[in-house]
Amino acid sequence: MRLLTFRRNACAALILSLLTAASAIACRDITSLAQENPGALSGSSLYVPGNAQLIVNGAISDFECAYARYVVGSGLFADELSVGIAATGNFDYDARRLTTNATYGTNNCGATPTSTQQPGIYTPLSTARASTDTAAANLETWTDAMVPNRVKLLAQSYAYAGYSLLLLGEGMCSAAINLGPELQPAQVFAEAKTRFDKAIASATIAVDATTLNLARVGRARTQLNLGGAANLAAAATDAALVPATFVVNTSPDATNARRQNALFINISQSSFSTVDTSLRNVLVPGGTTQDPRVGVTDLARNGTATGSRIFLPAKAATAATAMRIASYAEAQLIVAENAAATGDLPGAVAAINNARARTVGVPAYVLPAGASAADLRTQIIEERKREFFVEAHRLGDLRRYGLTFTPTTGAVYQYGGVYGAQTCFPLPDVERINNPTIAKGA
Amino acid sequence: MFIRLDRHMRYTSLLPGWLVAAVLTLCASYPLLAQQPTFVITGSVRDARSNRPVTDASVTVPGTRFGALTGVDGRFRISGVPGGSQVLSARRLGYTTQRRTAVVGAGQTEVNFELESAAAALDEVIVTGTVGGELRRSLGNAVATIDAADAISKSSAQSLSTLIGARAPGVIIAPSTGRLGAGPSIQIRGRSSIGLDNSPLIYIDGVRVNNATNAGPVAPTGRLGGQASNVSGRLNDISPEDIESIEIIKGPAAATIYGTEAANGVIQIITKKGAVSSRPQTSLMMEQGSIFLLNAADRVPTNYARDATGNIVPWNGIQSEADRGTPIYKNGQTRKYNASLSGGREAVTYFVSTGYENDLGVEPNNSLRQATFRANLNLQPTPTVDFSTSLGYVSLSSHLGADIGASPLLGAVVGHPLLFPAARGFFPNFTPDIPQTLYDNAQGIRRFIGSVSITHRPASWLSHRVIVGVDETGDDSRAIEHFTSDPAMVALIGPVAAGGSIGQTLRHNTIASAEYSASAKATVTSSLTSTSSVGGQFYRTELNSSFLGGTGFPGLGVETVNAAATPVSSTQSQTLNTTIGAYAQNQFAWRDRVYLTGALRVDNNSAFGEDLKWVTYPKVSASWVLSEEPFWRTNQVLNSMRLRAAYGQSGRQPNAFSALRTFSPAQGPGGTSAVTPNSIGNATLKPERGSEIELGFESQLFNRLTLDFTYFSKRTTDLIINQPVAPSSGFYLATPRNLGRVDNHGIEMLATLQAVSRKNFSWDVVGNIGTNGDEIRDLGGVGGVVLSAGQTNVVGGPIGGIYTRRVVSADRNPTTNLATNVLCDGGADKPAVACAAAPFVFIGTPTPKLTGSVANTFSFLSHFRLYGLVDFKRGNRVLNANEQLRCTGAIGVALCRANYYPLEFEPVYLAERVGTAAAQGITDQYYQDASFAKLREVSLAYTLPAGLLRGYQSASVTFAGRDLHTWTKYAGIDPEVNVNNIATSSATTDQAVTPPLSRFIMTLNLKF
Repeated sequence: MRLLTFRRNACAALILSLLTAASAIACRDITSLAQENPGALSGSSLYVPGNAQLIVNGAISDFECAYARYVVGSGLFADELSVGIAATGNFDYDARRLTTNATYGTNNCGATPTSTQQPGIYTPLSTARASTDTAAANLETWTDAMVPNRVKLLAQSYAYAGYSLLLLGEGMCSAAINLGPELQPAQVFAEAKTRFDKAIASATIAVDATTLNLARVGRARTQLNLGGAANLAAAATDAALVPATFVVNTSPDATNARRQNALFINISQSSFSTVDTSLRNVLVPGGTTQDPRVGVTDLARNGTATGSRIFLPAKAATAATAMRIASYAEAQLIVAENAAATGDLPGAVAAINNARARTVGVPAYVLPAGASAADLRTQIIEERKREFFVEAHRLGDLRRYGLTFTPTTGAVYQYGGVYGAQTCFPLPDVERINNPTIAKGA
Repeated sequence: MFIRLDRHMRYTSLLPGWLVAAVLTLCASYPLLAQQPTFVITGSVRDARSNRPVTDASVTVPGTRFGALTGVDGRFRISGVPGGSQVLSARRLGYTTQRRTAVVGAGQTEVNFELESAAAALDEVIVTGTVGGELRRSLGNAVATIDAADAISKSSAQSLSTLIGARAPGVIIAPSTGRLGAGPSIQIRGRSSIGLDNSPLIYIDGVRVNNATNAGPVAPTGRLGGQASNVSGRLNDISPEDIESIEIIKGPAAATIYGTEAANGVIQIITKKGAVSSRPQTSLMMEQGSIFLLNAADRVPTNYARDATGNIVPWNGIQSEADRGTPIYKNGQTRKYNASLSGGREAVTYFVSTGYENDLGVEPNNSLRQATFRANLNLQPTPTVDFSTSLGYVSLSSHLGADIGASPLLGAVVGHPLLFPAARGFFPNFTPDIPQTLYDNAQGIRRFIGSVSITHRPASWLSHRVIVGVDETGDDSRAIEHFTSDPAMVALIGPVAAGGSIGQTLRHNTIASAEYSASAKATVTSSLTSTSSVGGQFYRTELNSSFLGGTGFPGLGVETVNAAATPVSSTQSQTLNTTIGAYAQNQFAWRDRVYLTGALRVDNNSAFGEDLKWVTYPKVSASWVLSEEPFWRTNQVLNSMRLRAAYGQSGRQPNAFSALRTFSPAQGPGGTSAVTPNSIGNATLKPERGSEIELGFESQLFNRLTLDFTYFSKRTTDLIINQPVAPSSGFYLATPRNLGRVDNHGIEMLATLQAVSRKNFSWDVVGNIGTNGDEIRDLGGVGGVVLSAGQTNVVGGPIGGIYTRRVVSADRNPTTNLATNVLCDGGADKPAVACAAAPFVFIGTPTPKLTGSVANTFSFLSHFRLYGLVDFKRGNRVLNANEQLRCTGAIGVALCRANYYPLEFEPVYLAERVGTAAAQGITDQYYQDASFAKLREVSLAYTLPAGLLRGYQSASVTFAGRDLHTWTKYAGIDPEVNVNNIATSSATTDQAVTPPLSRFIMTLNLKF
């Protein structure tokens, strides 16, 4: 009996031990605590020379995504777009009365970017600035032997870093870099200029004409923003070097949310916004047809905001329509601006017409008899408004030229309240609170 | 034997052959059970005080597998019992266990029990994580126990969440929406984490299971139909009819040996088991009922707008549709059936059940169909070994309907025919049939939960156990907007929306559990025993999710992703998280009335930062059954008393990958490979650590009143706060950091009263209350500044505290009749100031401070029982976004009465109602007191007398109603609804969310 009991217990103990041991052996793989995110790259493995192209691709795509959102957000904030959706957050963009915790500061351009309904401005541009700067910093530490086309990649990184800073300067009331102090637009533009300087130097070495001209237009635009006759002249010098065929667009995609034409998604697909009434039927100068630079399509439907009929810019015909970043036309209008400022009215007219000639159907500009340099400046502003319609220039132009935002501050906003006094996107809470340098009052 | 050996070897080729042979040789030596004559024991179990039958009491022959449950008439029948003297035990939650000795022999032996009610069943075994559990009397902490059979028989609870709801103090069941298929969130003792999920762990028969609360379909970006449709939760996959009891461990003091992840508490679900009997017991349940939206028209406010002639036109969307003969909400149906078979022979018992439910909601696009299967098997191959399996499968198909942004409810809330004439007034120019017929948010669930448990008792003082289990959930969720060519619909919604869309989310979640534990008991002296327990656990959670979709179907009925003209970006995610932990516990028992327990738990987890290795959690508790002391004089006032105290810690793990610095794959220019910054990471990330003190007592007074009181004080340190990252760093995702501290404290009380207890009439009252206060004590210097109106976390305030500007004085402009000279609260002890310069002051908390319920049960005329339960929550506020949208003119025109009849309202009220007030952050009027009391359950049950049973063991009919009345001052649609999931968000918003649906149900129960 004692033997039987022993055998029973031994049997059971053996079964249990066997199961436990077998489980332990079989489960050795799965009991590992190591955690890898199969959907992401770890920081420790990314920054190696072999990933140089990958890193630069990411930096450029960060910028393009940010740029597309800036086009929508700044267009809504300025006078290019108005709301289609009945949503308080969108009303605040449209009425220029954003609170500093609003989504313009926090919505992002990550792998799954936040909706274009209330486009992120500060975060996407800051991400792009950091990605491009980090790419450039790493490329500077690597050698040509380690990285094929290193200098070309360096030029691209600096150029897009410059554009990221340029838009931060044009759109934001202030900004920060790398958790540093709060910078005013002039300081941001100065940072942009250093990037463009390096981009031009590197692109020259790499014989990369596209990046070289991209950086030239970017530096010229930056110098316009820096203001003053000398900067304007320097801008014109850069701009004059840009060939007639030059244009750089985003690289769009019909389905990838980061690369889609955000205007199309925002307006046509989602009815979040529409073209502002003032731009729905802009005729060619002296003509009766729509100015192709400001072409719009009536989508024959309303958004949820009362009376918000949806009009789509022709520049955003599909989700896969490219968005223009820099062009010869822009360079020529910079040349024209400098010429007008220096009294070279024929030179200014010629430059305007060089720009107009890039768009079929736009007649040549003829200087009215007795027109002054100031008149020409006004004409250039109008040319820029049309040429760069929904191309991320209008807000910067309103600020740079000191134009009155319309409707004016205090005017009744049709969806409640009044228009605010903002002329730029304020530094958002997310930066002010969490940037230790700014939080400490630096 | 050799043939069997060969067969085993073929299937166990991974194991060494000699080992298998040795095992089988040993096992082959078991003697066959001797055939001997067996007999039948019958009898009844009744309440000693009222003489009422006690249903579902477990009558067993201790030490054997023989046993049975009583039917609704209180009778039981155990067959196959060997002859001779046998001890029988009858036990039932809420009663003192009773034993009877009977001499079993020829003929039928009758044994009757009369159970005395008990304050708490001190000898009830509680599942604590150690082998075999522990006696309640030894626990230093509170454990709430829900007797499932009793609760279902009274409430006709259709789901696990309704079974738990309002029955345990301090446990909040929060429905997000009333739509069928939606699953609620559970919160125990309030909210104590800011950045992590506040849901408790859920175990079924010892195996950890999926407790996700925000599953469901997701629509392609920009599509209205799928808005906020990820409202389903996995809790309700479990059929209530399969559950024997539910035990709720509420906090770190009790959950220490569950380790990291257990700080929110633990819910143990114990499913039914079979009992030895010569005749299997079959149970049938049939349920039919009606589902309806109570007072629909009254819930939606009347809107106002001015017509072209200046007349003010009122409109109620729900009422106007009902008046034209096209009511938005119709009566739905519920049909539920369940059948179970249980029984067993010596050494083998079984419980198998199957259930089917088919419910239709109040809108055509809301329905639920669920089939469940369960097979529980218990084997005792030797007297020292128990082998049990628990296998459950559920197949669920639900159509969740639509809420919030695209439903007739929102259309009515912010609509008016003067604004949307083409759609009979419904916002956003969508007639009610558009969302109801075009939007289909469907979910298909296939889920298997299975476990195997082997317990071995090699000696009387030693036992050990292995449990291995898995929870596999496959989820196919689809947010579909149907194609339509109906010209009227196309005209209203536009050709793009009319083309339809699909967003398909495929989830495959696996939770694998393995646990080994051992307990050894030693007698130190004649008065002192010691029980030592050790154990180790392994949990591996794998969550895979894919999203794909497209827009623009070619025609009606074609609704696949590949049929869509324009695909949308697809995404995939995979999360793998592993926990390894071990514990050691020692318990000293002095004369079985004083217990002292100490334990230590160590854990490591994949989500900890790479610089962190193991974390340790201690525990100590004491229990003293005071009334069993010799000095305790039995008296008629205080019949029993147990004191308890516990201190313990447990954790809450960081979210997967949150410690890692990562970059996400993205598309670069021209479709090239690229990366974009994702998370900045935190290599020192630790789990949140909850430390809790619990003090309490259980007592019985006057032999009819029982009280169970608990005070708890919990401190959560190393609070993980998702600290926003300054975008200039290059990252944007908030980074988890161990920065803060939150304190919770409160009391819980459960009281039962036998108010009247006579043979033909009894009245029982059960009440419970739980209070909870949460206060943020530290945020590590991060944030905590109120910069705008809304919910935020501030030191000294509750989690998700509500802060707004608040108007304190205003005059009436005699010309416009509107408010003028408006001043706002200037802050504590400060004068009122102009609103534009006013601070954002504290308005309230989103978490209820007081919850509870009162249930009354009347039994009369021997066979009737009338039951009612009222539950309540107090002290929380909900953002009534419906009112905010209406009154501020969010759709272009203000719609509230105050906007048109200002003289009817006070100037302060008017000052808060103007559109610019909300823009200034004056929104306190929209964060409304959501306190309520609800008539949650009412039922009348009739148990057929024995003379009418005609071969059935028992039969009963129950008429029940749920959610039949609400007492509240809240002005929104319902104080319980919430756009957000309280498990992961402290924000509470009511925006056109379907309220809990009411039901009338008839249930027929048969046992034979």
